[in-house]
Amino acid sequence: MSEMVRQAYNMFQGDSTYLVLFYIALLYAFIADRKLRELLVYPSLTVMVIAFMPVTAKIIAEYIIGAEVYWRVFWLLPIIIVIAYAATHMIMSRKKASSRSITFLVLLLLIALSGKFILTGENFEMPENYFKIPNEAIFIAEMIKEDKGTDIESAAPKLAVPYELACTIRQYDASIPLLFGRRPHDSRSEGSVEVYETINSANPDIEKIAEIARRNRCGYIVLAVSQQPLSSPEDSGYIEVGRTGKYILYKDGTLF
Amino acid sequence: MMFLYKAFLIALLLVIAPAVLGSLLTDFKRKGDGSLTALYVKGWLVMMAVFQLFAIPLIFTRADFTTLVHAWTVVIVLLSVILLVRNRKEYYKIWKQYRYGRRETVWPYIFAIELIIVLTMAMVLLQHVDDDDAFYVGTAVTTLQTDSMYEYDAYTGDVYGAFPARYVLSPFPVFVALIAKLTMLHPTIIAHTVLPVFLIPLAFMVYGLIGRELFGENKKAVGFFLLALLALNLWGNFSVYTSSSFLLFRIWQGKAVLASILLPLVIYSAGCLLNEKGRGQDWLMALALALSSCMVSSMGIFLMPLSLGAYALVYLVTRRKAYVIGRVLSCCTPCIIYGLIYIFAL
Repeated sequence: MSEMVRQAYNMFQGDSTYLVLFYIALLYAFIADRKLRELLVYPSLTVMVIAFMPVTAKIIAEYIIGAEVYWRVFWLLPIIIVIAYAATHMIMSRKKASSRSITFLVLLLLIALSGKFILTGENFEMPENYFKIPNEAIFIAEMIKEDKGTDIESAAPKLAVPYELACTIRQYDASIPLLFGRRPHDSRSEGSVEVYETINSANPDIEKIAEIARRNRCGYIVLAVSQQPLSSPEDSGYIEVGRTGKYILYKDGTLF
Repeated sequence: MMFLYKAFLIALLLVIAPAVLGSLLTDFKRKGDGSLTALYVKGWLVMMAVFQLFAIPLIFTRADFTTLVHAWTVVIVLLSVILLVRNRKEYYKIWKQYRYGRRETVWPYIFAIELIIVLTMAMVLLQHVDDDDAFYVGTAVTTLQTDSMYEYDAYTGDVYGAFPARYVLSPFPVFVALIAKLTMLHPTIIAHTVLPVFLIPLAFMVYGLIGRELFGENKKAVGFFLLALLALNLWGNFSVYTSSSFLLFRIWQGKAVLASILLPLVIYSAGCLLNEKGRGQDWLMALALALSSCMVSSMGIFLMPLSLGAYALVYLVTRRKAYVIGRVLSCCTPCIIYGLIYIFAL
């Protein structure tokens, strides 16, 4: 197994023993039902050979899906299907209803101990709205829409925002152009990366932001209430348009 | 009143239409083929496959998004009407069976269905924030608001210099925008709140079909199978890369549909297609599955042939019949075409 495949495999399996359960279940399926070997066992083994063999792995990684997402090849393994099949077969092989129920509970415990529960506060939260994006993104978008006049619309329509808003504001309103999105290196606006880095820092450099923003027709910026800029936005010609709980929206007063 | 109207549009588009369209890929004379579950799953394949056939040429010719919406809707409506009329006796039988048929109380099966409903409601009521939505949901919103497809960068709104190679052949976000346009809802609401209601149960329906392949008409076994899959998905977050994580965190993204719904469906499809008694509808279903996989994710263009190919290799060795290679190659034709476009033209 090449290093790339090993890394992808380790990323995919995390800290769990699900894949061990899968291999055991595969062996069980091989023994339990000859008819299902063609449907479950042999294709899984074929995929494993393709995925782990250095020659095929190299071809897939270099020419097909890319090494950085090689772990997606493991989606071809019917892991939970095979484990579920083996579990069901074990349960149904019990004659009495009580032994079936006990077997079911034991296997459920085994699954729970092998994996990681998904419904946690770390993974989910209560939504603030039907869009399931932060209310802040909606408030900022609405503030901009209300504030935009013809002059700033044509002269400097773009907005520079911290990361959280860069990921969400255009999910609400795609008519708001951004200086940079989630990936500032891919932005066509010159100086995006510098603005991205400073606007997401604890102490944004407003003068640098203003200089780059003006070159790129970016008439609005957003700062977090918790940030402490190196200089006052007003000193660089910005006017506060409004604020939400977490953010302050400024527009460039020199542009109109 | 408007809320009820939109709910009706959603039901029409995401419940009734697939249930009718699925008959295109169904042989009602074959036992087990005409179940509502099978019809509904296959109906989604038809919707996505038809979408892919229209979307790619229209995207590359820089047509308006509205043109795609109109073209797709006309075809789907016509197809639905023709299929409903052609199969009216079969649908009547299905309706009679559900209305008047004797129902077995099989506790694992009923318990599984109830838990699937509870899980789906939980996913609708809760929120998981995923930064990839900046692109995928952003693309859906951009598509609807600009009436264009992959002309503007979803991240910034800048005009794309060239088509984004990784994404343009798999316009699932445009499909989300289409649903939004037809149901008069915002694409972000469709993605985050509406689609999980249908796609999470769809994944479990696929598991149910696989369960029937594995355990036949034994409803108790299928019930335990679904319960095991529920548990495996609920505890499947051992890494963010698993199909379970994708199913429950971000099912509205195309690659989640690929990992949780379409790739598992290969087990069901391959079983039908590669059987010596495989029929025209099985071939059509595999073709629709290949088209749908390409539509939802660029990974599908490459992973679906790998998956079907693994089955073909197995059947070639175990049954020594060359026809399997021909069947799989034919079904994977869309993947081959899109793959060549991706490699040479983009």
